[in-house]
Amino acid sequence: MKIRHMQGKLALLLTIASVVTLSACGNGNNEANKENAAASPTTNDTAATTTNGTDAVDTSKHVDLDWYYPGTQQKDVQAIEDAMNKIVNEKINASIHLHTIDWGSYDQKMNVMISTGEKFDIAFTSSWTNDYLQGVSKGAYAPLDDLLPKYAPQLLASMKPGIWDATRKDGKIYAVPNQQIFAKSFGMFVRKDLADKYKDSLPASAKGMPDFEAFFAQIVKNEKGVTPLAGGNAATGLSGYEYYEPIGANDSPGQFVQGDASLTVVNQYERPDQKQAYETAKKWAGMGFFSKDIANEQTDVYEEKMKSGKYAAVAQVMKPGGEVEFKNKFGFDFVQVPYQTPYISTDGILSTLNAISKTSANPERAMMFLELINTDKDLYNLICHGIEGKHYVFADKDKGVIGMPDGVTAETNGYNPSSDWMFGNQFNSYYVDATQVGTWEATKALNDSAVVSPAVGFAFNPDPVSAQIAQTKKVIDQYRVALGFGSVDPDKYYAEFLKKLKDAGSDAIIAEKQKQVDAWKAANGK
Amino acid sequence: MKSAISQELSVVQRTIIHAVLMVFSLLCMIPFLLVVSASFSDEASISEYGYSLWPRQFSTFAYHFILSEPTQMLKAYGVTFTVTITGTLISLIVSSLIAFALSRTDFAYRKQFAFFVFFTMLFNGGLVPSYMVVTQLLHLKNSLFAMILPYAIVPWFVLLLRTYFTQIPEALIENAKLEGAGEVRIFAQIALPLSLPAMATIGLFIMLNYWNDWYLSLLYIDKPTLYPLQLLLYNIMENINAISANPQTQGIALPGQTARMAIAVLATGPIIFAYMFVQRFFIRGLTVGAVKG
Repeated sequence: MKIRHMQGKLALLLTIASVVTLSACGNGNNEANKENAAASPTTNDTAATTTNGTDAVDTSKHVDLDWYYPGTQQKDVQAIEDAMNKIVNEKINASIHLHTIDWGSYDQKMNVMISTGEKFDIAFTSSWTNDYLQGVSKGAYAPLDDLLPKYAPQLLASMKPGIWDATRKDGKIYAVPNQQIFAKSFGMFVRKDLADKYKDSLPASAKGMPDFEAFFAQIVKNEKGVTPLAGGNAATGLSGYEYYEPIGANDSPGQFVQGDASLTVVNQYERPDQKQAYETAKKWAGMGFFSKDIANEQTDVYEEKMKSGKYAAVAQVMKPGGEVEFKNKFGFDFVQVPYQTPYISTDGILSTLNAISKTSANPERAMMFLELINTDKDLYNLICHGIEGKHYVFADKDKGVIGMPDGVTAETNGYNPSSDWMFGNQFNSYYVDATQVGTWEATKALNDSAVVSPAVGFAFNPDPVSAQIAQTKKVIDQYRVALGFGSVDPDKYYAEFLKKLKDAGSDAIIAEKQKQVDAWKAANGK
Repeated sequence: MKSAISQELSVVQRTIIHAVLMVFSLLCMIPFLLVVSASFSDEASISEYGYSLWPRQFSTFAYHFILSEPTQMLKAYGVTFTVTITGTLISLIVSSLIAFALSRTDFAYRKQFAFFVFFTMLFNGGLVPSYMVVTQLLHLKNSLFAMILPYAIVPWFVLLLRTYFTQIPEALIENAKLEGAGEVRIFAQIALPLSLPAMATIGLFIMLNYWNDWYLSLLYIDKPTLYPLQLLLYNIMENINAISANPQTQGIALPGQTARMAIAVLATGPIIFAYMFVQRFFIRGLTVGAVKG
């Protein structure tokens, strides 16, 4: 018996021993990496305290900053990092390390890094990947209210207080919005050749989707093989959404009527304009304004059809320069016709942010870096477009227009992340196409002139009614697109839709939204 | 057996059976053929006409796109092969050692150890603790072992093997002992050869486990040089989606559907051959654990 025990134990020991040796190998690897990492940056301890203007900012000690953001791995990222560090090192005596995490991994990776308290300094966060509000409630990010005026005064001044308010959670700012288009409004992107041809029936600006009926009728009548209105993933058909401001998920029941200062939450699906929209949709479907399987059309099918010119128009969020993007994507010239008043909501601002981690050993220096990347054009364009002569050349230096170097294409370029909006103030970016010149000024003007929603800074917490939201979402998915594209008769199905929504708990959601809005109003003195 | 059937069945019966089996195997093959055909099709023709068994418009654009950087793809294949082979070996050795010990009625702590293995099938610490163990305790981040160790013991496979080992007559082991064989020799020269079908089957399962895995590498691998095939392909796909959704990218031609299919072909290709090698054990091995649950 004893011998057998011994053997059992021996086997166990062996297992443990093998595990230990294996992990020791791993360890060795890791340490080698660390040494490499430590050896590579040129430590510049002698660089004096910066001449940043702000007093008492001690930068005598060289620090390393780790920045995580999603993207496609770029071949020459190391060269970019080195070039950036020349500037960063000189100005704030720090080295930045760029960690590009592939799109598919970013969410998951940041989630575990945050949950396990792994050290990083700056991370990209937003409402659509690496969720900002969730991160804040997990305590992932450092509050910036004290850091901003001291270490990033220019950055703080570059956006109006209403914009910063959107990032506040419980009164505190936890992230820096990257300036880009904040104002949101829906518009109709219409193929320019068709818009010119039928310009008499196309309104210059509209109050809502129904205003396009005359134009679409012309298309059906005169253009064989062209369907007036495209579907695609974002398409919801007609539903009167242009008159409302969503709270939480785009289509969940309970929205503000746009411009309503009292912030009353209404069930948008019950409103008369909604029923009207569905009736119009039914009529339009009968007139052949939609393709047959529009309700189920996948994005790539939609894109192929756009490229081959089978659609005359598509409803999308508008922005200055949007036509150029459409032309690049689909090959046709487009014009934008707005049908909604532009407004700034929390969501538009939270779509691209950079936050400083609570685990950062040097939050001040990280803040200084964010100031630098948002104000230093050279540094910012390095990370956006790479190195001049290698990754881009100037086509028109005065206007800040760049192009690809000779013999380099988008596919062969060693550094072309194409995501300016992720790294800082997009208005500092070079234009990649001469037709874009002036877009940034126009966008800035639009941001400045757009109405800031009275609800900016309010973020709905869906947890108390998450069951109802999931239930209603099922109902909405089942009916809304079918009704919005007129595939079913509203006389019969609209009432059924509303009843099922109620059964699924839409009233509870609306009550909860109103409760949270009221509490937020009381806390913020609105 | 074969001759017995041919005697009993008439030509008509046999033809019917063969016809049914042929239809069935066609049904199994057609989806795969569709995938291969779609991967060689032109993107536009797919969105226009849908899938077809033969490419309507032949194009290798999807492969060109995915294989545009062959070194990275080859590296990824290398990583995947290394992880799969070392992982399968380690996992097979460790699992069979535990399973053998657990199968022996004369092992004193059998119940405790069996429970220890079984317990993890029902309960585990979840993502965060295991991430901490791998990254902070074992320091395996960005190492090949991060993709191997977490799957080294799969309790279900251990239990399957144990069931198979218990079928070895105890008398055989007693006899070997009387002849002077030690435990290691009994394990290596009696138990293992007798359970070859089980080892081959479980080996194949383990191999597929390692081959198909991208989750561990997603969590623990940052360095593109250490990307295994599945993660690389997953990333290519996700990046295509992200690029085509990014309004800023300027007219880069991207394969969508076809790339998805080409990825499926590249990802399944080599591992199909593993089936051929293991197939002769496979049929016997499938009944592992069927007799004694």
